[in-house]
Amino acid sequence: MPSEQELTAVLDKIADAANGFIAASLVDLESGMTLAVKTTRTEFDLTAASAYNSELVKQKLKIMNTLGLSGGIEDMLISLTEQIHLIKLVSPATFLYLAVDRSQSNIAIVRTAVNRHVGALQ
Amino acid sequence: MPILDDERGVLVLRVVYDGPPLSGKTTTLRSLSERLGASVVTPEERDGRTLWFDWLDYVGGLYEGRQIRCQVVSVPGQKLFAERRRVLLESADAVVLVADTTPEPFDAALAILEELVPFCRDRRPATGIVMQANKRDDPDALPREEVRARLDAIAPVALSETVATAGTGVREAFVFAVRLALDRVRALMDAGELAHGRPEIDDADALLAAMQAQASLAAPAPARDADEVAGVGQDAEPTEPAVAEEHSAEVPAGAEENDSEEEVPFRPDPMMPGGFIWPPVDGRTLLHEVAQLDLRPERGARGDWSAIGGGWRCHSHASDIYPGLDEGRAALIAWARRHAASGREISPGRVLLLADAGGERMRLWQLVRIEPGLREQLETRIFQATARDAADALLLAANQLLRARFAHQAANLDLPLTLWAIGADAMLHPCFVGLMPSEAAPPKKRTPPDELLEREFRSVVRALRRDHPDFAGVRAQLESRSTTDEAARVLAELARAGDAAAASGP
Repeated sequence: MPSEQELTAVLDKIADAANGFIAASLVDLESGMTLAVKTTRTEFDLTAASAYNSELVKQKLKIMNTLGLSGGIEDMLISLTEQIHLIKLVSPATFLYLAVDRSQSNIAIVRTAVNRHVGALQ
Repeated sequence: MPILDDERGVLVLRVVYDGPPLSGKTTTLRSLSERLGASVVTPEERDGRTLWFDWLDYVGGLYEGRQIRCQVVSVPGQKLFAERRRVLLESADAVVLVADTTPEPFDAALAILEELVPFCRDRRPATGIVMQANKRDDPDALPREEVRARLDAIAPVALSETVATAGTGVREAFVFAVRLALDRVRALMDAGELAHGRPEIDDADALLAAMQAQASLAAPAPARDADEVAGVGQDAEPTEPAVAEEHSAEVPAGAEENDSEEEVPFRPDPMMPGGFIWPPVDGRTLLHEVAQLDLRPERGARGDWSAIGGGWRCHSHASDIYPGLDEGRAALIAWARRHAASGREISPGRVLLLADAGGERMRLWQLVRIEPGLREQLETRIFQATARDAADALLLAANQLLRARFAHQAANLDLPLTLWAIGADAMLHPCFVGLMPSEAAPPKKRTPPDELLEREFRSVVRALRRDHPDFAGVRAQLESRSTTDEAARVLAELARAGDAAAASGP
């Protein structure tokens, strides 16, 4: 796995590419702990958001298992009134969590920004 | 010591940072605190050295819907405070062993690891260990490969490289330790033994008070103890896959029927439930490492599933599929017993997994860290070596193979005996490095020693004749030792037989 500095550099690139960037983190799926973080808003509790989103991913995996769906999760997109949240599975043990301001961005921009750089997080 | 604090809705667990003096424990905690936005409390210091512990309280992550509250504690490294260190280690849910990886300090860290491993394994449930290989920016730091090999000679411990002064890698090592601590929590939960309530020790002051309350800890140990070790344990060509297939079981008669229903693809998953992994703690540690590699096994022509990458091999024999959970668990237990009974005769980096194969079926998998076999070791040693060195290397490998044969016979182990499947550890002890044969594989007849050497070394001697600039010298070396060394006699005969064949050839 890349070092924390290298991971943070990738998050910097995602921040540059995604208009309206609010925060991003690389999260350990099992514990919900962050491995790298970047935020532009001090009031945004990225630690808590990362932790609770790990639960979200785990619940979705359980649902898929219950339904007998094969394959894995590629990404999860959540559209809020004012924000877009994207969860992108990076490896079986980690995921990228990204929040952007919806008034300054759109789903296509967010996905493009993430897909361009996510490979460097592995 | 994990405890579910239902009132506050948090799971409290403790990660303890251990290591020799001046290895970087306090620096690691301070660096971690900057990254986590928390602060370090150090009750008392003398000349910059920790006397009791460093304390960092961090709330982050989530487990089963509850926030995780980590008590991150470092031990005093000085031998004088061995008892304080022991008390802290006894409360650990995971241990991060911080090691200076320059040569002499690293020896000291390995000495601690040798004591720490049995101590942590004896606890119920066992405590996981992460080796934080620190000071990686030091020009004298040992290469990662050497660090890994020396760790493996002791136990399969997770390895994380750091430069604590710059903060590099400290967060990753910490998160890894939290994962291991959660494995312990999970095991306690499964056993119905996870404590509930408010933790007795909730901050640095409470920990200091508890430690001071113990009369034996209230003052430093007598000066004569200063020289004693801060002990913990005291107190308390042909290719290998082809060889593996030789020992595979025949595909069962019902396999075609099984094939008709596609199997669920297997991915090493660090969140597999307890009871499906062996060994329970070390296995999960290794599984975390393998899961990062994203291996995707594919089915071969014989029905075996396999994937190789990142120094690991993931494999399941065609016959290792079971119709239900009970049968799968029984097979996992039988295989785990077989591994345990093999002791030092098999390489240490191994994990057994029972995974869902779809349609209520379960499949048994083995993850094996790739280690060089004697054949690979020979190839790097003999072709460019002098005749004497080449002969030495051949005889060493031959005798290691014979020692492995003897050990397998003594322990009644039915494992492949080939130059690809047998390797040697850092102490030159021969061990099996191949894939474990299927439980359903028919027992193999034991090959007599001479036949074994002839079979395994014929192609090596042939290659040596073709590629070594002084093959006659190698042969002379072997012949000169053939009266005192049985292996030399067999290898000399192989060399002579090859000469005769070459002379009578077209």
